[in-house]
Amino acid sequence: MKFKVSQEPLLQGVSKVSGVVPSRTPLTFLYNIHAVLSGNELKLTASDGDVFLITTVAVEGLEDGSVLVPARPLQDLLRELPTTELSLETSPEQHLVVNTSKGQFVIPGEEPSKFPPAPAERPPQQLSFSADDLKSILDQTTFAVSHDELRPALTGLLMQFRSGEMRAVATDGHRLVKLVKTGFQTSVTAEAEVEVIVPLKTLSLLTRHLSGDDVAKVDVYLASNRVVFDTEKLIITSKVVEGRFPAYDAVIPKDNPQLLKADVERLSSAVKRVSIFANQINRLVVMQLNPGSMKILAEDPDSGRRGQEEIEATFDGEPFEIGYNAAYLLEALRHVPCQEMEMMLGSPTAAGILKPAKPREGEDLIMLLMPIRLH
Amino acid sequence: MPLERLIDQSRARILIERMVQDSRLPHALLFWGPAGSGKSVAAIELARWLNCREGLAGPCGQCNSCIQFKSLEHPHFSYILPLPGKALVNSEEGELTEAGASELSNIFARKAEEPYGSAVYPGGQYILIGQIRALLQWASKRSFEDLPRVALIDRADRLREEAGNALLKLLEEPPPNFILVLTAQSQEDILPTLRSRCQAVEFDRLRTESVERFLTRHGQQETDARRLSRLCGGDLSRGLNFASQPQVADEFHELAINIVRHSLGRNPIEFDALLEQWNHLGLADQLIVLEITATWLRDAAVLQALGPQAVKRLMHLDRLELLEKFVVNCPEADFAAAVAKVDEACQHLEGNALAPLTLLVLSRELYRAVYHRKPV
Amino acid sequence: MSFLVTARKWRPQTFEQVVGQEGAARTLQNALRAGRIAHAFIFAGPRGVGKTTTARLLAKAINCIKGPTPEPCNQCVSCQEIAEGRSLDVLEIDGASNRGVGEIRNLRENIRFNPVGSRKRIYIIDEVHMLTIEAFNALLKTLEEPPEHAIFIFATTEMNRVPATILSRCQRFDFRRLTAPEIAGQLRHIADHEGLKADDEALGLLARRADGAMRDGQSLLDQMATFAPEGITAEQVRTALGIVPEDLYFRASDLVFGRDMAVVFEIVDEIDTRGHSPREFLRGLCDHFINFLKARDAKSAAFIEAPLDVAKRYQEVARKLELNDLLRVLAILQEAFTDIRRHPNPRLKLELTLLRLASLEHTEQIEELLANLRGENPQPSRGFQGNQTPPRSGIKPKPAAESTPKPLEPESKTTAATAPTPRPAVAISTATWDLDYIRQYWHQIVDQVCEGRGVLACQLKLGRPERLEEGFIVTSFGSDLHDLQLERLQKVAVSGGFDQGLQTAFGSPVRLRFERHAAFSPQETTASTQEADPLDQEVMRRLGARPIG
Repeated sequence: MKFKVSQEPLLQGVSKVSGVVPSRTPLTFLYNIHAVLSGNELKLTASDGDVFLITTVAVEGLEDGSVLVPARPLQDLLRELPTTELSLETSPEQHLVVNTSKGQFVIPGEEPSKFPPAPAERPPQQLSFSADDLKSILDQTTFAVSHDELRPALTGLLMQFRSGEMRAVATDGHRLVKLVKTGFQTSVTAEAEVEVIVPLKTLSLLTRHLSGDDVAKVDVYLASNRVVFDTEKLIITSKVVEGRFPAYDAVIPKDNPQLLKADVERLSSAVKRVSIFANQINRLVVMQLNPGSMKILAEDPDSGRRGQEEIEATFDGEPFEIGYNAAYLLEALRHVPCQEMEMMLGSPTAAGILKPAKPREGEDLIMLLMPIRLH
Repeated sequence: MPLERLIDQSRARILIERMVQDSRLPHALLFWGPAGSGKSVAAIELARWLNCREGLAGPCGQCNSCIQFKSLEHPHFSYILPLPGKALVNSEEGELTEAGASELSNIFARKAEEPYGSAVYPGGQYILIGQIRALLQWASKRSFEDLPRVALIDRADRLREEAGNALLKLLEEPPPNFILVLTAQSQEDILPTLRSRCQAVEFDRLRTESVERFLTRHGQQETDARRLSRLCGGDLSRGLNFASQPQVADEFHELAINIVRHSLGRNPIEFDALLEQWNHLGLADQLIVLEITATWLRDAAVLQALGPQAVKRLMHLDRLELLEKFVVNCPEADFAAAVAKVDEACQHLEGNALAPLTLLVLSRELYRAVYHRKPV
Repeated sequence: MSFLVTARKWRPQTFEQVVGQEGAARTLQNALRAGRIAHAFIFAGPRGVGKTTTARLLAKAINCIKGPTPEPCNQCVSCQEIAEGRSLDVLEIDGASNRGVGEIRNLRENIRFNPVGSRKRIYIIDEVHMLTIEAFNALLKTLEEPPEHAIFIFATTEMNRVPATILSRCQRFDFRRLTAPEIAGQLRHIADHEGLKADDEALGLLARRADGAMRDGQSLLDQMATFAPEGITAEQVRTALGIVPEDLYFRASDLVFGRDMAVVFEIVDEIDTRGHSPREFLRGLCDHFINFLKARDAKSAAFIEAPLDVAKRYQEVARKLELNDLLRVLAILQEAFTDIRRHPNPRLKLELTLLRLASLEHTEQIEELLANLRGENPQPSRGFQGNQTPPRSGIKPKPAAESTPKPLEPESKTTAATAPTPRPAVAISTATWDLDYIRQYWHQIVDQVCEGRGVLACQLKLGRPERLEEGFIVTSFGSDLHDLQLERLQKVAVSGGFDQGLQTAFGSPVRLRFERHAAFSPQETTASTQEADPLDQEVMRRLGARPIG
C-alpha cells in the first residue's frame, strides 16, 4: 500500500473513527485502525467490537493495499505534524511508514485480516432523513432510554418502521417516549415491518457526529441484526440489542379525558423551585388541578420543608391531584419542542400523557409519565 | 476434522460431535474432568468449529473466522477465567485495568499458541461479578452474523457465589445462538443451581502415552517425554510446564521423594534443608510436589502388592532402584494410608494451613504409616 | 442450529403442569380465586423444582387481562410479555447481582410508581438469600408498608439465609424435592410428545440420577436423546452415565476376602478401558456395600434395589461378611468418595482405596478394635490420627423404619457391646441413629449439614459429639477452636442456621449444642510429643511457635 495525502484530511479521517477505539481491552486488534486503499480512496475503520466507524479519505493512491496499525500513535503523530504533504506506505513486515519532507516515522502493524470486518452489505431497508430531523428525533427520545442492565431490551432506542411511519420509542419502565415520524424518503414498502433496538452508545456516537460535523442527510438501514447510519462522511454500523421490546402500545392509555394546558417554561421553572422542597429520595411533587388553575406542591415530612406555587393553566376536568417525580417531569418538559404543552390525564394512578401543543412538522410526540402514588 | 486439536477423550468427543451434527447442542454445557485433560481445548475447538465459514465440515483453518481463532481474538468468543481483583478497575464492574487488559491478552495469546497450556492469571483466585456483568453486556448485543457465540467460563468452580448467581438467568435463557461452556474438575464443585442448568460432559485423564506422544511431537527428547509424561500424571498443562523448564521438574521430583525419605530418616539437618526448599515454593508448586509424593508412595504400594509384575504400572520407572530399596526396607508399611495422608496435607494447604507446619505434620504421619508407630 | 432445551421447551404454562408442587399450586390458586393475594411470597426449595416457574405463573395469574385468575390465559399481551420476560410491570431481579443496599434503595424508590399497564407491579427476586444484611433491612421497610400495587415474590434455595424478619412478612411456600417416580412420569410424558423412544427402566434411571430436581432430569433426557437418538434403553443410560455393571462391583467386593492385589489393578484397568469414571465407580461401590448391609437382615433385604437374582447374590455373600468388616469398608469408602471429588488423580485414588480394602486385615488390630468396642479405652492409640478418625467400631445405623426411641437391639456378638454406655444412649426424640454412628460419620454429617459453608464445616469437624440430650447433639471442642469461633458457631446454631441441614441429615428435627471440653483436644497428642521430636523443635523455633494447650 502506498499513497500521498496532506496531513489535515488524514487527521480528520483518523479522528472521526478513533473515537470508538477502546482504551483497555484484551482484544488487542481493537486498538487498531484498519486502513484499505483502493484507487484514490482510503477507507479507515475502527471498532469497539460492537460499533464500527468507517470513513473515507481522498488520497493520491499509488499502490493498493491494506494495513492494521494502532490508532493512538498514528493520531498523536498526525496531530503533531504541521500542515504538510505526507507520503505513506507499508513495509513488507506490515509496518506503516509515514514520510514527511524531513522525517520518517514507522508504526509497526499487524496482519490486517485479524481485524473483524464490519458486514459489508447494506441492509435493503433504507430510510433517509435530513440530519436535523434525525437529530431532533434522537434529542426528544434518547433521554428516556433505560440504564438498567437487568432488562437489556430497554437499554436502547426502539426504531420501528411500520405502516410507512418511523417510530422511535424509549422507556425505562416509569416513563415512555414515543415519536412517530412521517414524511421521509424510504425504500421500504408501507406494508413491510422492521424494527431494531439501537444501543445507547451508538446513539451518542451518532449524535456527537451529527452535532460536530457538517452533515446534511443520513441514510438509515435497518436489519434484524444491525443498524447502519450513513452520513456520507461517516458510516456507523452497529450491533443491536438482543431481546424484544415491550408491547408499548398496550401501555399507552387510550382515553384520558382531562386536558391540561400550560406554558412549558413557566411550569418547569415552578416545578424546579417547588421540587427543592420535595423528599430527596422520591422527588415527589404534586399537581393540584382545578378548572382554570393549577398548583404545584411539595413537602418533605422528614425535614419539615414544604413549598407550593400556583401557575396559570387551563384544565377542563374534575379537580384532582396527581403526583410525579420532579426529575422525570422536568426532563420531559425540557424535551417539549414548543412553548406550550398539553397533558391528558385519567385517574391519579393512571399514566399521564404529555404532548407538545405544536409538534414539529412530521412528528407526533407523546411522553408518558407514570404518577407516584400519593399517600 | 471437528475438534481436531483434542487429544484422547473419545467419549466426550463423540457426544459433542453428535450434539452439533444432530442439532441438539444445548445452550449450556459443563465440561468436567481432571486438570489438563483438555476441557478448555474442547470448548475452544467447539467454538472454532461452529463458527467456521465452511460450515460443519469442520474448521477449515483458512477462513476469516478460523484465522481469528488462531489468536483467540474472535468476536464470537469470550474467555472468562479467574482474575485477581486488581485486574479490574472495580470488581463490581467488568472494566479492565490497563495491566489487566495486557496480561489477559498475553494469556490469550499463549493459550492460542498452545491450547493445552494453562491459562492462569497470576493471583487470579475467583471469577468476579464484574466479569459476569461484562459477559451479560456482551450477550445483550445481537451479533452481526448468524453464527453461535460461545462463552467459556473456565474453572467455573471459582465463580464467586454472587457471580455464579448473577449468571443464572443467562444460563437458563440465553439469547438465541449463544452457548455457555463451563469447566470444572468435578461436578460437585459447581453451585447446584448452575449445574442443574447444564448438560454435563465428562472428560477423562489423558493417557500417559498420549501425553508422551504430544511432548515428543513438541520437541522433547523421547526419554524426557516419557519421564515427564509419567511425572505429570496425565495433566498435559503441567506436562508442558515441566517440558518448558525441565530443571524445575527434576527439582520437584527430587523434593517429592525427599519428603518421604527425610520423613522416615528424621535427621534434623536434612529435614532442615528440605524445609528450606519447601518454604521457597509457592502454594501451587507445593501442591504439585505433594502430588508427586503421592504418586511415589502409590508406586511403592503397587510394588509392594505386585512385586516384579508391578514394573509396567509404575510412574517412577526412572527411579526404580530407589523405589525397590524403599519398599524392601519397609516391609510393614501401609503405603495406601500414607498416600491418604499426603492427600490430606494437600487439603490442608488449600485451606490455607501454614505450609511448614503441614509438612511437619505430614512427615510424622508418613513415619507412622510406614513404621506403625509414632516417631520418637 | 438453535436447539431449545427440554427444560425451557416444557416449562409449565399452568399451575397444573407444575409437577410435584400441588400443595403450593392449590393454595395459590385458591388465594387467586378468592382475590386474597398476599403482597409478599417466599418460595423456598432446592434447585430445579419449579420455584421461578411458579413465580412467573403467579405473576401471570395476577396480571392476566382476565385476572386475577387461578388460570392465566397465556394469550393476552400481559401473559405473553411475562412469558418472554419483557413485561414492564414484572421485574425479575437476581438477588446476587443486585445484592447491595443501593440497588434495594433504588427499588424502594421505584416501587412507588404505579404499574404501567397492568394491575400490579411484581418484583420477582431470585436467590434472595444473596442480599446483604443492609439490603434486607432496606427491603424490610418496604415490606412493612408495601404500596398497594406492589407484590414481591422471593425465591431461594437457601431459606436459612433469609432473616426471620423478612420471612415473617411473607407468605411462605415450601417447594419439595421431587420423587423419582414423579420425575420419571414427567420424562415419559415429554418423551412421548417429543417422539423419543425410551424404555421405562431407562427413564427410571434418569429420574433417580436427577436427585429430586426436574430440571436435572430434563437435562439428562436431552443428553440421552443426543447419545441415543434411535431410542433410549436402560443399557444406554448405564453406558452414558457411566453406570458400572454389577459384576465389576462383586469382583471388587471379593477383594475383601481374597486379598489378591493383582485383582485391584485388573479392576482399575477394566474401569479405565470401559470408560467408567473412577468417581462413579466409587459411588456405586458404596451402594454395593450398603446392599450387603441390607442383605444381612431379611426385612431390610427387601430394600435392595436390584433384580431378584442379584439380590439373592447379595444375601449369599453377606453371610460370609462380618458386620464389623462391612462397616470398616464402608467407612473407608465413604471417606474415599468424599476425597475423590476433588482429587487431582481420581484413578490413583481409586486404586489406593481398593488396595486398602484388599489389605484391610493387615492393618487393623482386632484386639484394639475389641477393646475399643468394650469401651475400655475410649481413645485407644488413635492419638496420632487424632480428630480425623472417629472410632471405627460400633457403627450401627438402625433400620430407619424403627422410630421408637429404644436402646439398641443386640444384633450380633460384636455390636452388642456398644449399647450400654454410661448415659442413656439414645436421647434424640425420634432417634434413628446412635451416638457412635454420629461420631463415626461426623465429618460426613457435618459436610451435609454445612453444605457449601466450608469454614463452618472445618470448625465443626474439630468438635467431638459427646452425648445426645433432649434432641440436641452436644458437641465439645478443645483448645483448637478459638473462643470467637465457638461463639460464632453458637450463634449460627441458635439462629437455626444448621436446622435445615440437620433435618436433611437425620430426617428429624435435631439441633446442635456446643460446649468446651477442657480435656479434649485433638491436637494435644501431637502437641505433647512435640518436645521429643527434634524436627518439631526445629520447626517451632523457625515459626516462633509453641505447642497448643
